[in-house]
Amino acid sequence: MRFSALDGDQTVEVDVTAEGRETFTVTLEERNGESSRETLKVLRRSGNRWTVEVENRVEDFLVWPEGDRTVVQWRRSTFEVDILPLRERLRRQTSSREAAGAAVLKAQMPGRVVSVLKAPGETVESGEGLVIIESMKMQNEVKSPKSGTVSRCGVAEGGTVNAGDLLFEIE
Amino acid sequence: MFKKLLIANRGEIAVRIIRACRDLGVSPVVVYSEADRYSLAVQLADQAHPIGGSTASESYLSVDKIIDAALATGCEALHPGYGFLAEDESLVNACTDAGVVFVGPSAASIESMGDKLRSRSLVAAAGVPVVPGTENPVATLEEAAESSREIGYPIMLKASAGGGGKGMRLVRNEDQLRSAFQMTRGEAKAAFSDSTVYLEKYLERPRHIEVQVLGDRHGNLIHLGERECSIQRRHQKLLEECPSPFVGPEMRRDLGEAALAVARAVDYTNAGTVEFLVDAASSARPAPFYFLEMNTRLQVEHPVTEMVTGLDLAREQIRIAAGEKLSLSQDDVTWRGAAIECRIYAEDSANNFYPSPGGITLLSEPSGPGIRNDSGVCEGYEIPLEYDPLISKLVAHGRDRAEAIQRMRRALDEYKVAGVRTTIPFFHAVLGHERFLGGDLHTHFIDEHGLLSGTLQGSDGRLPRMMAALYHYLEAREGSSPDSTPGRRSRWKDYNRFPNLDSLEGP
Repeated sequence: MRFSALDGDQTVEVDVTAEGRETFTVTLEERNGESSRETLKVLRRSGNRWTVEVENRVEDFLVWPEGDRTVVQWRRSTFEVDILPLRERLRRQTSSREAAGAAVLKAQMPGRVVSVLKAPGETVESGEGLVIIESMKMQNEVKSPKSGTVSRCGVAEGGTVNAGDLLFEIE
Repeated sequence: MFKKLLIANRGEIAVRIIRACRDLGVSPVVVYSEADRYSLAVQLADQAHPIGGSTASESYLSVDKIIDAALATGCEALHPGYGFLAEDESLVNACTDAGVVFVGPSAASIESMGDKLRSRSLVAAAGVPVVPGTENPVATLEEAAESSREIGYPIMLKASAGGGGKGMRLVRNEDQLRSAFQMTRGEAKAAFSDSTVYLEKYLERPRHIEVQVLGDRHGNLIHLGERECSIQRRHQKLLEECPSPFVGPEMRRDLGEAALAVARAVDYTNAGTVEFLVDAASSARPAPFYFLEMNTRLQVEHPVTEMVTGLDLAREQIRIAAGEKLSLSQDDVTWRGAAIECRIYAEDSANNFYPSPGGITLLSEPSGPGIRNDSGVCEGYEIPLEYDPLISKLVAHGRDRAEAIQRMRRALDEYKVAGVRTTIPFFHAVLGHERFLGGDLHTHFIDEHGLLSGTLQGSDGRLPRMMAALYHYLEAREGSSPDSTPGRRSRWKDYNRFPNLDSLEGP
């Protein structure tokens, strides 16, 4: 089965093939065009915790989904992997081209809208604050990812938002 | 001793107090908000009493509901923990009126220390140095400018009713003072309903060192040495240790005597902490130290003192409240080895400590020699959005600081949490930092050494990317939900185990 993973700003292909009930060959395309291959033997899988034999070593991984991303914890590092089945990636790329130019900002988690800094029609600079949202007693400023004009605003001061709610659209 | 005690708090501190109750043979009762129905504290207590909605103001901050809970459950005493109503004298007064013993100091002590200006003058009168600044509120900009010139820039503008890092602003020159003055007053008015502000000299790279005190109702008052809490972010402590690598026996004695003088000035009883700023950058030795504030409650970081002194502070608190005498004198206090505490939060340290709420799908806690984990969560627990996202306080004890650090690193490696991001990677970075190992700490350590973001992400993503692909492959092949973990199961079985869980409608 083929997947598409983001590596920086590039997409790379990953292929998974079953060799047995617990053994899998994974081929990863590298940024330089070469590819590397590993045989992964799943020794134990308990919930989000995986014990895997690779290159005659035993490695411990924690893997769980977080929205569109997959979080992988390995040794002392945390990786956020943006990976999708290849077919799904192609479908999304087509649809995102249609909406080329517009940036849609969605709430990362539920929270309370403390203040709205921009209104539809106003121009914003990349990195400029759009809205301040308080979650878990912490105030966070959501910044514009690009310079442009506010085309939509889905928040009101004093209101609440849920994860995935539209905050702003910048064109 | 009391038969039943109400714990007016949640999370790990509620669990901590339950344990102290068990060790004393007291039956622990907890209150819980809607968001905390499945918490570890509710599971462990003998009885759990609902006090309403999920927001703090509907539950843990309501004096009436807390008192009603104590009376309804027949508790003779009430432990406030830390935060919420722990430093609110109105809870103490309400307890007195209801005939419930408050586990903590008197309302008068809390009130004197709650007002920054008043506590400054009280402490100065007791002969303990305070940070140079104004003795009275500054009402006008002209007054503020004149005082600032006298004290010398940079200065700190502080709200008299503030605390815990809130309601203060750094001012480096007169220009900044002009805009900062009204702004700080306005913020103080909005946050604390009191616009009174005053000025203090700003220390550039101070160390935050505090002293634990303990007093009974028979006039005995002792100190248990210091804790260093210089590793902070936005004035919130992240890592604490006992003893401070900066403090020797002489300075410990001086700090201890100063802390006792502060406590005596307000007739303090029960457990309390006197916080000092130490001007380590000054060339004077011993380094000058200044009173900052007194916390009239048990501190979050009390376990490091417990590990080094061998005392159980939560237990001592309850014994003192029951009218017993301190179990030791100042001469009996000994300090053995060193201890470090890391506050493990559900926050993404690689993304500017952005809160990471959600369900804990896997929890594997560290153990082994010298390790203690004061946790408030369990597998399957959803970290509520409404409160401080503390998962646990991981504590390591060793013969010396180096051994404690080594054990802490081992424990951080063993600690596995899935489902939410944690501050564990951040502590790996701090504990591996050369300056930390050298004990060269100050309150801007995290910012100055760039330990806040970005650098903590792993770089070699080859195997993790392969694992992510394998994960999705198996999920697709098994055709099941990605979550085959506990926590999504029915709760009916749990409930059956807790016949003492009060009905949600209340009595």
